[in-house]
Amino acid sequence: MLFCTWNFGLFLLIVVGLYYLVPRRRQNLLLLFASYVFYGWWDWRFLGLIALSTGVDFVVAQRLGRTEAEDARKRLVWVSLVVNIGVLGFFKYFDFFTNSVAAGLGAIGFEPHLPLLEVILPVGISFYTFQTMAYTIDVYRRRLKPTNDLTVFALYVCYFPQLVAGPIERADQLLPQLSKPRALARTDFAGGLQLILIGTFRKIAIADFAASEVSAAFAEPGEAPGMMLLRGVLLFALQVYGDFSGYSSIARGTSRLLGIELMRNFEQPYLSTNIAVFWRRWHISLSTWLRDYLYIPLGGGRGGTLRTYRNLALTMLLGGLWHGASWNFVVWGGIHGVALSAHRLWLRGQRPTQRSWRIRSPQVLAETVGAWAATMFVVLVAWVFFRAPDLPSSLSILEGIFTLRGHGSLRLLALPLALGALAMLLDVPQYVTGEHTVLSRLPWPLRGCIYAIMIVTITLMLRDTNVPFIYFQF
Amino acid sequence: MSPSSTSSSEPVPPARRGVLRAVGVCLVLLLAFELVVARREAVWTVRPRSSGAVLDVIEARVLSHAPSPCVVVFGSSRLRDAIAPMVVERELGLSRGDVLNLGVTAGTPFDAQHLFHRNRDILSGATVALVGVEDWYVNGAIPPSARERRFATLGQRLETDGHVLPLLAGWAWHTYGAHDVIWHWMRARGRRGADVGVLEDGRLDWRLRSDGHNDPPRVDAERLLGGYQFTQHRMRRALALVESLRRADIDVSVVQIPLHPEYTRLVAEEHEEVGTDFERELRPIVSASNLSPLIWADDSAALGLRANHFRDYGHMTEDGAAVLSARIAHELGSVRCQGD
Repeated sequence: MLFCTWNFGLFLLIVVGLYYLVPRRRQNLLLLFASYVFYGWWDWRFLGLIALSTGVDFVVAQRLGRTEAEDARKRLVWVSLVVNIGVLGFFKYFDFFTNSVAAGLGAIGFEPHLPLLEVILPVGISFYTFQTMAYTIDVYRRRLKPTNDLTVFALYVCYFPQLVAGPIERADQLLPQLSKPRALARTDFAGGLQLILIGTFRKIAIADFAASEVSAAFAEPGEAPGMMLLRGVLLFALQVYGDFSGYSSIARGTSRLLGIELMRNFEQPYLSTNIAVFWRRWHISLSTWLRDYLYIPLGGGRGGTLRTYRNLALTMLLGGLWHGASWNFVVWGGIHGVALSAHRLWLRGQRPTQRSWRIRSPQVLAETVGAWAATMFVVLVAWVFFRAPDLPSSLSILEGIFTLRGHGSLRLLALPLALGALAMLLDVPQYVTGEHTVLSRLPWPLRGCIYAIMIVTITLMLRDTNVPFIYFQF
Repeated sequence: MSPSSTSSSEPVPPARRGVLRAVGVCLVLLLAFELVVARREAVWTVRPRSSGAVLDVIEARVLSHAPSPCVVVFGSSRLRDAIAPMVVERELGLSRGDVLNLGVTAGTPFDAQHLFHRNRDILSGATVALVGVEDWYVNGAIPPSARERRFATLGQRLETDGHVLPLLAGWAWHTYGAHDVIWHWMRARGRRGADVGVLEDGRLDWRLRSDGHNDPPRVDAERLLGGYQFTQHRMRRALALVESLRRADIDVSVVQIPLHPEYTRLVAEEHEEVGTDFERELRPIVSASNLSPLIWADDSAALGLRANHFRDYGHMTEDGAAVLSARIAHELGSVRCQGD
């Protein structure tokens, strides 16, 4: 079941209605049932994988809670890691590694016939496996006590608003909320609806609108004029942001209707003035997960400069691979890893901070704009690898842009600029106030008009065939 | 990756006061917009070359000039482009206006049913009907057309497998029902666009692309048959149409137009399930008709059609239409018009 469909609208209406009608002690059971229906709507066969992940991590955490011996605790946590990474690797990476090995052997003269699985990727698997692993690791690190309530834990794993594309919630944030009954709060309800409205607007009016133009621009990368390719890259940057931040906003809004607060996943990343800040603002739940469960265990910034760069690069490469079984994602992660290392080298130990966008002097403005442009340059170059089907196509796109191949009018950039301005209309007030429900600050007549304009715009721009959320495939 | 922490878990302040008043303003504005859309039929027809307006165009440009047709063609754009009324008339020795081609872009049996019932006084005088059927009718992933959102009754909306909710939403909320028509009009900056003419051979001139570019057959096969989910509702309507025509004493032949060989090869190889389901659903429709069916999807070579007779995967050029129309006239043999 996809957000932004009539099916989901009806489903949500029924779930929220029942949620506040059933006794509070039954709320979790209802949400668990609804979450399984939500997931099973897509493909019920993969409910078994969620059940496996839930069962293994619940039992492992219970045992960890009763075990003091370090060796036994390590063995237990390895069980969780092997099962979760094993499931993820089997479904997501088996064919990729098999193909890569075959290609490698082919390059040296062997022609092996290695078996491929060719199975479909269970939606959301990368998200919920990371979430359950984080729980078990936190229990192992004694930062969290294991829950004894299987219903609560099962709901933590498969809570439908964030099941298929995050945010990847931390157990210490979500479990306490799920453990207590929730009452209907009018202010939460209004805020939730506003987040859903903003998220749907980002998805339909920005991301989906850009999507068809992106497909056209990327259709024949070897032939298209440079300006057309640049337009495609700019539009893709807006598409992926509108799509994923829109999804995250709808997820948070939906959850807020149920009285449960999910973490912010985006904080206006395209206003970042350096790459480190970009990663504090883009897909926050993943970047903080990678920081806490990969970068820091690898040694983080300890152990010398070279080790720090190695850790950064390794974290970003694996972060890239998390997105999909393709060398393009590895290169995407690699570009960010190199950029983060270069930025760290540039700072020489200083903490990376966001430059203020307040215009104090022409010089400060020029410096801020320059820093922003350099950041966006890296981000946009990396998006080429993220979107293109393969490495040769990516290189062809970059070549086309940098050599200004063929003819192309500057007017081609009008659409990305217009959509970018629309995105900024939402982002800048959020950036200034720090509130995602910033519309609530406006006088009610103006707010009502903006709501109506957004709803009519969404309605008119809805497509007959849904454009799936990009991150659903990860 | 920076090890510094983020404040991402910080709860967002709840919405402030005036929520109900803001929602009230919003609802009033939405209602005003809805009233404008619901009361103005012109919303659907403001651009002649649009999916929502095509039936009005056919009534104005084709039906109104032929008050007593003998042969009527119902179907999609494939039939619209493949059957040249004047060629059929000439071959059968009929008068101009005796053959009407009512093929519609992305036309389904719903459009045919709607045209037949709305213009029954004209069309029930026909003696022969050619009813087009297409493989993609069994693909539930193809959404309902703007015409269905515009004209379908509540009952018809409820029986449209897999699309009931959007069709009901469009019935209750006209702004949504007409959304793509309004959106295309807005993207055209309010311009009406070109009118629709009639070609010299009597076919409707509805070529949306003027640049001569056409997608390769693989793209069309994926567009029409990709994401396949079996549905029966279009074939059920085709059967109901044939039965309606037979009750009106009109002889019916079921037609499947020859397609580009590359397209039929792709369908056979990559969308085999579609072909199997389509053939099964086609049988009762053929049984309900009383003239020999003209099922020619794979027979382009046998019919003397060459690659240059196709504009794309399944739409014919003028030359292709001439070849096929002559063949159809040959198959019909002779046609008796009412009043003869």
